[in-house]
Amino acid sequence: MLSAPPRQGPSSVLHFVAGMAAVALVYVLVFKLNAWLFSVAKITDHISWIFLPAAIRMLAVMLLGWAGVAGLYIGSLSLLGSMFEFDPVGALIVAGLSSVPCLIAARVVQRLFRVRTDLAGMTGRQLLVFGVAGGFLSSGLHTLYFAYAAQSLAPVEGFVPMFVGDTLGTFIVLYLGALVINRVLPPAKED
Amino acid sequence: MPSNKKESSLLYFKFLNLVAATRRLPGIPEIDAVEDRILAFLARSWYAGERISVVEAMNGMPEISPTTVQRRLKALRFKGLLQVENDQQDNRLKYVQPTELSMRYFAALGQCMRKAQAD
Repeated sequence: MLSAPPRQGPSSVLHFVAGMAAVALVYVLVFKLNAWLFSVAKITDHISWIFLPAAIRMLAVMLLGWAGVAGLYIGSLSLLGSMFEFDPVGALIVAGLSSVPCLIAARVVQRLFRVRTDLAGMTGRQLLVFGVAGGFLSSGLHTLYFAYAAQSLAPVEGFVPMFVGDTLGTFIVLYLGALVINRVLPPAKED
Repeated sequence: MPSNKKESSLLYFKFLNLVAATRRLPGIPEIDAVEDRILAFLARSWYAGERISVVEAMNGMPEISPTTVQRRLKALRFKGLLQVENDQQDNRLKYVQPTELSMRYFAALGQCMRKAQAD
């Protein structure tokens, strides 16, 4: 289900690297934008009641698969700069938790709803389920890791804002995207 | 120079010399001017009872670049002059805390002030 990308030619490698770089860049930019726009909703620097980058995570893995995961990993790692200095192993794990679970969630939901690999025929409702599943898995695994690292149940309190933030953030981006698409490309009228 | 000003200057020079001597005391790790500046910045927050995160410390001193602060925080931690604690909810968030040694260092500086005034 989560097989590594097949061996391909140089142009595929180039596509992979370009996709990865674009995702890393967009993820970091949206993260900064989120911190600026929703500073009142923030719990910590990485937990907010509205977390727009969650949408980037979902879209990146749905569109680019492993290239999206790699981009998210690099983007997350760069945002964990100060953590990396003091807890490098923890930073590597947390960056993994910000990227891989999104692909797992996407693949599981894709199978569950029998969505084609090219995403053809996917409904809006299914897209929302992708967002909720990604948010749930990512928040759940982050919380479990934090609880394990702290050897305490205190991090469990962070699960709700993380999950709500991821879900809300994904919904906001999806609906804004839908709004823009409808404005720019209005559906063709049938005569 | 009026004697009042002269006395004040003398007091200050005595203080500087005492601080320099204190820094050479056994058990006190060597710290440079940048580390001293960072410690002073942190000490003000600690004294006010504030918790200061690594990121806040990195961005709190406009005269020192965030990367330098980050590197020096790591060095100060290595020297035992500060410790880093995780946030209870989110272990990505790290707080900088004083140690026994940093408190001893601040106390030694305080003694320098008293000594300079008393002599």
